[in-house]
Amino acid sequence: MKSLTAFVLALALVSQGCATGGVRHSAAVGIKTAQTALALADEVEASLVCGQPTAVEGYCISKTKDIELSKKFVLGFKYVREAVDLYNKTPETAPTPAEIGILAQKVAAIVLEILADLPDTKEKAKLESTDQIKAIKKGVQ
Amino acid sequence: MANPKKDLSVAGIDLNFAFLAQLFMWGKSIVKIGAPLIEDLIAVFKSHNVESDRAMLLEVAADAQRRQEARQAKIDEAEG
Repeated sequence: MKSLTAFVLALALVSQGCATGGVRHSAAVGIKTAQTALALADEVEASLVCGQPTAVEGYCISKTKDIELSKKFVLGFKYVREAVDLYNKTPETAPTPAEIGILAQKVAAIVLEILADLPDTKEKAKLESTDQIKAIKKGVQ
Repeated sequence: MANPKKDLSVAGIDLNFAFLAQLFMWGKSIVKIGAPLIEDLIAVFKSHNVESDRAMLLEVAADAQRRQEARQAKIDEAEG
């Protein structure tokens, strides 16, 4: 009886399109995770630029490097916005476009590139211990 | 009394058929009442999920735009 109930429930969910809804929801969560990781990296990087009160001498980011990294941030945030646009343009009944996942992966790759360029400080270690960065590292591997 | 086992068995089968028929009727009634309720429940759940995802992504896009513009302004300022 238990298995029958489970089967009927599963059938109801699939026939109602909840399976598609699950993929769509996962895509939304993926975009959110990528954005949060990039935003966290944005804040940490900005705090480590030489001259900032939070930056440690000898372990700070030069102005030139900051501009180089800012270009990566601009690209990353652009990808996030493109992913959100694509999500919003896709009708609820249509399959979730694979491009959303590709864009989220591009953002993840940018976050890891930026992370590699950050000086080894406790702020970087703290950033690397966040769930979002851990998720991104797991996803990219 | 010649064959009580068979009598009981026949009566048992009759009873089971009647019981199954009754079960089927109850099942039909339950499905008739329950299906629209389940459909409504799923619709409410789905619309809530879609709406909360939309609201979340609205914030995500706004934050991404704000940060992108700030970083771009920094680049523009440095590069003149």
